[in-house]
Amino acid sequence: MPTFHRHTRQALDTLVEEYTTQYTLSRRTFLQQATAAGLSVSAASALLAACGGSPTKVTAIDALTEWGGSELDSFNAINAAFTQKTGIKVNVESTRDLSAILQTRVRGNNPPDIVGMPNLDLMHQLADQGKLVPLDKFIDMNKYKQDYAQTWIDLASWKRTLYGVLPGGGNKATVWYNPKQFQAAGGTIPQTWDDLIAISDKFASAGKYPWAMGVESSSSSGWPAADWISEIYINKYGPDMYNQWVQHKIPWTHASIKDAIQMFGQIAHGKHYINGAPQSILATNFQDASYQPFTSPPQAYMYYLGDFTAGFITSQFKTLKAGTDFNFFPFPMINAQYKDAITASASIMVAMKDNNGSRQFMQFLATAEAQTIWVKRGGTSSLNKSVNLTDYPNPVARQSARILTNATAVQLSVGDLIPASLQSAYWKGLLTYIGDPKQLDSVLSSLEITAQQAYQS
Amino acid sequence: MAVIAVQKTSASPHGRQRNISWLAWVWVGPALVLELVFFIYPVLNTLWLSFFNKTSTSYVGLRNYQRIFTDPSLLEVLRNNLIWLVLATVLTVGLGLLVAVLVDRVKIERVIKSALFLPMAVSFVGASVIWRFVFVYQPPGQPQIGLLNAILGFFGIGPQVWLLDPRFNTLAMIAVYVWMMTGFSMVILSAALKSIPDEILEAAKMDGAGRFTIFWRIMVPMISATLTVVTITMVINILKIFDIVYVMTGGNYHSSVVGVEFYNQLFIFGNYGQASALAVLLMIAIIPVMYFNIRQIRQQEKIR
Amino acid sequence: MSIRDSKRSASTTLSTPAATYTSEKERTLGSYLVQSLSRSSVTAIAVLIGCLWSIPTLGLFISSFRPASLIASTGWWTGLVPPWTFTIENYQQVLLAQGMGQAFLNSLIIAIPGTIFPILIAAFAAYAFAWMKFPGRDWIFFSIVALMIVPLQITLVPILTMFTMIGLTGQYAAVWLAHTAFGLPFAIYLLRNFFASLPSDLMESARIDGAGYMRIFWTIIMPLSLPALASLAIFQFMWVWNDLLVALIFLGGNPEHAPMTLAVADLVNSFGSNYQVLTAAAFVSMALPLIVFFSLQRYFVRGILAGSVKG
Repeated sequence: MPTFHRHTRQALDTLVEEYTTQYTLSRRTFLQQATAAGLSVSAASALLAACGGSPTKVTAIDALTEWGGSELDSFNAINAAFTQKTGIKVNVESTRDLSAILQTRVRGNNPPDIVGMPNLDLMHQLADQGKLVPLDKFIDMNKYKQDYAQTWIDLASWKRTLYGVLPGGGNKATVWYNPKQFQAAGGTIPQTWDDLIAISDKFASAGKYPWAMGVESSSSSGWPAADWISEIYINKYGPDMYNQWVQHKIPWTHASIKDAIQMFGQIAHGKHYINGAPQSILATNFQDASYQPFTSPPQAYMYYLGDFTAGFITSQFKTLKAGTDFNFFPFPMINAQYKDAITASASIMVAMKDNNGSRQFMQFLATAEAQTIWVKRGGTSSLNKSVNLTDYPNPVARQSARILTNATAVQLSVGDLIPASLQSAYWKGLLTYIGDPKQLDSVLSSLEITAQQAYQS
Repeated sequence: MAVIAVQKTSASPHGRQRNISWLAWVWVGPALVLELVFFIYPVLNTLWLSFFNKTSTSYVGLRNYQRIFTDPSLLEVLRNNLIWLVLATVLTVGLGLLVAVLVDRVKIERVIKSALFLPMAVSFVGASVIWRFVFVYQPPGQPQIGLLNAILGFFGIGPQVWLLDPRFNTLAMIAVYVWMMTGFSMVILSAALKSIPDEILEAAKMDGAGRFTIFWRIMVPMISATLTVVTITMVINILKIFDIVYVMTGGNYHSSVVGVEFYNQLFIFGNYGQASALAVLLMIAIIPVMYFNIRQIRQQEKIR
Repeated sequence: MSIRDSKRSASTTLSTPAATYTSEKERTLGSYLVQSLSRSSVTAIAVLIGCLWSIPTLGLFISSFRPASLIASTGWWTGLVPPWTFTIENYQQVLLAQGMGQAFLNSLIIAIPGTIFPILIAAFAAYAFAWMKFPGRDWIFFSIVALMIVPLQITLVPILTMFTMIGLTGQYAAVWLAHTAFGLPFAIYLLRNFFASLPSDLMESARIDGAGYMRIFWTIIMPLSLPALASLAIFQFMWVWNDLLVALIFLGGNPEHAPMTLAVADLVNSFGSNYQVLTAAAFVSMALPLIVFFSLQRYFVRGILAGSVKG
């Protein structure tokens, strides 16, 4: 349901005029009348703020996030620091089904104060509907620009308005391995793609399985493969081509996309590369697959996935030490021109109600002070340049963060940047490709049809 | 309203019943009001939206419905729903009835009933973890941690990817549903069996009727009304099956069902028109079932 | 002696095909074979099904005591043979999680009224649908039953809008109302069926004695329908107890009222690591529904009608 109808628009204009010129309306009355005229609470308070009212005062704010377990504990540690500073409590609710819950609550006029966005597409939709609070007005933009690379500011903005704060992120150019086992089997860190293939062949010809791979992830199965392909693509074709792909300026049938997928296929369908491939790739959960290089004896030697993989490894094998028992090497170079271009993950927090609580929280969350709390606890990298590298809990996390901050070009995985319907089709298409590489052309041409519909609306 | 009601019932033989019509409205009132408030708008709104496009901004006629019956992937979804409907209903009701009858008046009745009831008490998340331990696949040569593949391995058969293979995945998920819901029909049917007077069963036995005869000739007819209630409830739950498929295969590998498509259209693709059309399709699907049930109940009333 | 004559009081009230049953002529080979099965073999089949049904639960139970690294690498049945490596860590994580005690209480506060309200309201309506005559009765009844097919998701937004307007979101009352409304169609369906099967002469004689509807409802209908009420209570309690969706939507913004399902969901990382705590959580959250089941099971008894029919 659109926020504005033509006939209510007029009512609102009168209301705003009355409020700003006569000061006879209390804030409460204003909000009541504005919501009666068809505005959501957040939009009404945004409107109120826009016409000069100071934000509503609250003593607690509600946060809705996808985080659980140690992530939630870390987020709550930041919240505790915030409460100590401001006296405002943060009540967190978490759900794995965030997209559905959030959309229902927004449409039911009961949005949370702040939300961790499940995907960018939804953020753009909500921004277009006027459901998000623009941050430019109360966040110190100079400081923000100092702290964050332009890529991240662009990511957190929509149509030139800043809506998001990035509490953390991760490097997705990481290949995980077990240094001891890897060396014992005669492995050397590959610098280029050709090295990578050579070392894989070497393991394979010795009767070992060089790679672990698993793309099962319930209803989002396929995304780990999409991450692989994004990393290959940005390395080989560079950020400009990458953006063209994401914005659908090149068709899905473009030779470069086909090429990147086939390079991924070199690994997925490589001879004696993955035990039980291709079926085991589809059947194995991405998290279970990450354990394979670290069992004894190892079931595989390398595993590609973002730096959050460290969390899986340490929670599964509590005795392993970072650096000696598990480590990553940077994704090998494919095209020297783009050797510092990487893909990454980022979490985005937006505000849906404009009040002093959500304002102060967003301001605080953007600071290095707040983000250092999470960084020290482990499990995330910060995208804030002012966060000290020495605050990372171990050399592996520090190295990953260093690569992230030094990268010349950073982008999210393609799957996370395209419309949701296309994302889902892309993931499903990759499952088809992994199962049967001969179907690549038909997968790509049907993706192109989906893309044309998705970008049209 | 009350006036009309009184006229209609004034033919009642009992004097006392003359004014009960308005009294009946008092009895059904709370339920009726609650259901009207909670459902009337959503249902009508969904019907309305199903004739509109993705963002509910322009009228598209029957296009959303047309797509359901022409898009090959949606046709496949309808086929899967049909398989679910037939197999899952027959198995949950059939097994529930069988167990209810078998354990009736057997010493270990409570133990067996608890075993069947237990899966119902497991939260859905818990159930999805349990069945992971049954279906999980490891490549040949690795130790199988999934029960089913370990059993196959014991007999020297290679592991199967149960949830990926379109030959097995729908059946595998139906097995999970049957495991979870047989307890439901068992409990209700068992309660119905208890209301068959002992005397009838004893008399039949004295007459030399066998178990089989007692089952088909006495038990089933005497609980037929309850059997219908259980079956129709199952049919409805299975028509809108969602959780199991969403969690176990995500609707991939040709295993999707209407519930999953509806959810995706509504929350992932934001296509309100298509989502509404799917919901309306479900609602239409049960109209014949309800009609059949009305006729059945009216017949029973006549006998009473 | 035919069944019809065996117990007049019962057969007059139960007008089903059973009354037309005649035994001698109907003997078939099949029934003969089945009949020759001894009582113990019937028990054996029942036990077999029971065991089959318990295997997955058993697997979960054993897994809940195993460390994460073993869960992912070996089958749960290997935990049965030595060397035993069991741990209570998974349970500790669940039971000692912050706010779990409060969440348990919240779950109770939600589930008890969330069970009683719908059953009571449904029983009133079911009584009217079964024993009173009013225009449009059958159509209204089936319209309500048909609501079972409505996917919950389409009702959430309008209801939430309404609750927000009257300031009900975040209150227990919002969840009670929602669970009542969502539970009513099935409850009415099931209860009407049971109420309608009660012998009509009971009602007639009570009415002749001058009993009003209210008295008949409380002294005849409700006590005689105990097995049905008990099974309904078990299911409704379980559904409310295990519910996550309704709580997330209607308690939104008030985590202090959050039930156990939400607290358990918070234990698992967004990527799904730490999911072994779910094995323990499944058993912890199962405990109460099982207690309800066992304590209500004593109402599943035969002969509740037997003594009353004479009156």
